[in-house]
Amino acid sequence: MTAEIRPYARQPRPRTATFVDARSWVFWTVVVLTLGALTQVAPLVLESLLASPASGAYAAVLWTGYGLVFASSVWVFELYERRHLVNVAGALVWGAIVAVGLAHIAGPAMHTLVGARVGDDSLWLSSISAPLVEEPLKVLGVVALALVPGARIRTVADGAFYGGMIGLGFQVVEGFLYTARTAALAGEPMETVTQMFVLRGIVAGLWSHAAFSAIAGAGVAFFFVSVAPALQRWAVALGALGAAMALHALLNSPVVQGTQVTSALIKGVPIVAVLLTTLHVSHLRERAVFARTARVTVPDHLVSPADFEGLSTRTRRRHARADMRERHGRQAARDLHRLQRAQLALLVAAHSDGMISARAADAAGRVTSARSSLAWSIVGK
Amino acid sequence: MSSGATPAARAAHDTPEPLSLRLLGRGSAAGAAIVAAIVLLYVGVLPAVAGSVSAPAPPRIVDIGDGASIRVTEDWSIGTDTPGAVTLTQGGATLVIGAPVDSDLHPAQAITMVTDTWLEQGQGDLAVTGSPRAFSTDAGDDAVTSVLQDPLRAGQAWVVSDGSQMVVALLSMPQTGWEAASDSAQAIVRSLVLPTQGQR
Repeated sequence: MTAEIRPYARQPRPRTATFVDARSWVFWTVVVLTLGALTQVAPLVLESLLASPASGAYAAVLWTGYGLVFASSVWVFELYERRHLVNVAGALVWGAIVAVGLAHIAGPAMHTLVGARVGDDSLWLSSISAPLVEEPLKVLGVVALALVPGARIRTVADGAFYGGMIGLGFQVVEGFLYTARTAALAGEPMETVTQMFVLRGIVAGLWSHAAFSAIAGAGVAFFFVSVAPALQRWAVALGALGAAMALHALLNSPVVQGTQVTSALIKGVPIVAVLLTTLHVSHLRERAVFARTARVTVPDHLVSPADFEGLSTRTRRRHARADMRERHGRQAARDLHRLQRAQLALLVAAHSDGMISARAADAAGRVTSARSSLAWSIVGK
Repeated sequence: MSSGATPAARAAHDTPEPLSLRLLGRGSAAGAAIVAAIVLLYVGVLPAVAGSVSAPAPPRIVDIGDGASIRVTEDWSIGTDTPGAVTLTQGGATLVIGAPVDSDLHPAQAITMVTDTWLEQGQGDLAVTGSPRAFSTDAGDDAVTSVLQDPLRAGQAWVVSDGSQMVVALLSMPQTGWEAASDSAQAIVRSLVLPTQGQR
């Protein structure tokens, strides 16, 4: 008796385009948690705005702008795919509302428990208690997304991306609350808002909550996408979460003396090192996944293994476009850019939904169209 | 299909599937339960545990004799009982509460005798007593308290009566830390429950 061979191209696919899946209990759990957490977060935000309306509004504008710029940059400059904006919004909402709201309840409780052990006046109190609450609650958002197939968390890079978005949402709201409340009590509120935004958003913000959650999110994604033994998957997931908590503790800790700026910069070194290592490993894995997809799943006339070599890094794609511009002009370079994006979209669709799927069919059509346009641009010169 | 697809497809079939693929087409209740359980741990269990850690221990019920009782918080230690009285200590403060005695004096009348006794035992030339202040215990009995002071000691006296029996309490301590001890002792006296006629 032989087992039925199921071609890789005919894999089952998610029933929805995004994590919004009305037939998923996980989705509705997220909705309920969001509404519940909103009852905690909304009053905090209103209080902060009303305490000093001018500085509160200024803080809101700064932090909202910060979040939009950061999120847009990460989304646009992702290596292989631009993830669905609905999923990105869901991740941001989890961080900004669910994680903040739940931490508002659990945080003081953990503070009490840790304070009972280390003393209420210990300098280490917040650096121990905050990560124990905030990191697990943030990474739970990645778990929730991974449990909804429509979110299409299929690579470690997906986990790092959504973890980063969750952390960014948390950072924006937490940063706004701290900034607005401190400014309301300060003698020069507008100046205080600016200073706190620079410290929390620029100096320490680049290696803060977004970084921690990206690291933890990568570990969660490994748990879901890897075929390694269960023990290894658990070890990586919990190890990544532990690393995120340890780095968060380091950032809050009193180990480095000096000014706030100096301290934040020095503490940022190991955080950035771990983050860059996580991103590098996740991108290497992602490259291997798509190389295999190009080799095994996608027809060569759409994306061949050689085509993928030219797509595998941003530098190679840029050099290819520069070369095309030099040899055949700007229009050809633009058409090549369109072809590159279409080929990457096809690889992503084929990996997440299978070659025989609406997404892959749509992407294949765009590849064919882009290749045709490019041919005409070259011939037409 | 690209070249080498059939052997590759066979190889793909033999490869174990990641969890992300195994979730396709399966129910989501278990996943929702996991998420909900973790949230419940943080917003339900954790605050409850923190509350029990930080909450003060419930007061102890102490029998002061003849069926009367008081509620004593954990910050007071119960000293060696003297006959007819219970002695409580807290830091440098000593609170002596006598067992009920038969008396039909109103507390306002009885307090005068208590303060006179304090003054007779005083050390130093100058001693003062504050004006008596009336209040009711939690059990509804009449009570009066008066603050006492001499150069070396601070004190407070209480008399509680239900019309047929009376309890006298006396707090004495050095001048420092007076207020906290006085408030705590006031709460103890306020908790006094005298026995009813049938219980005596």
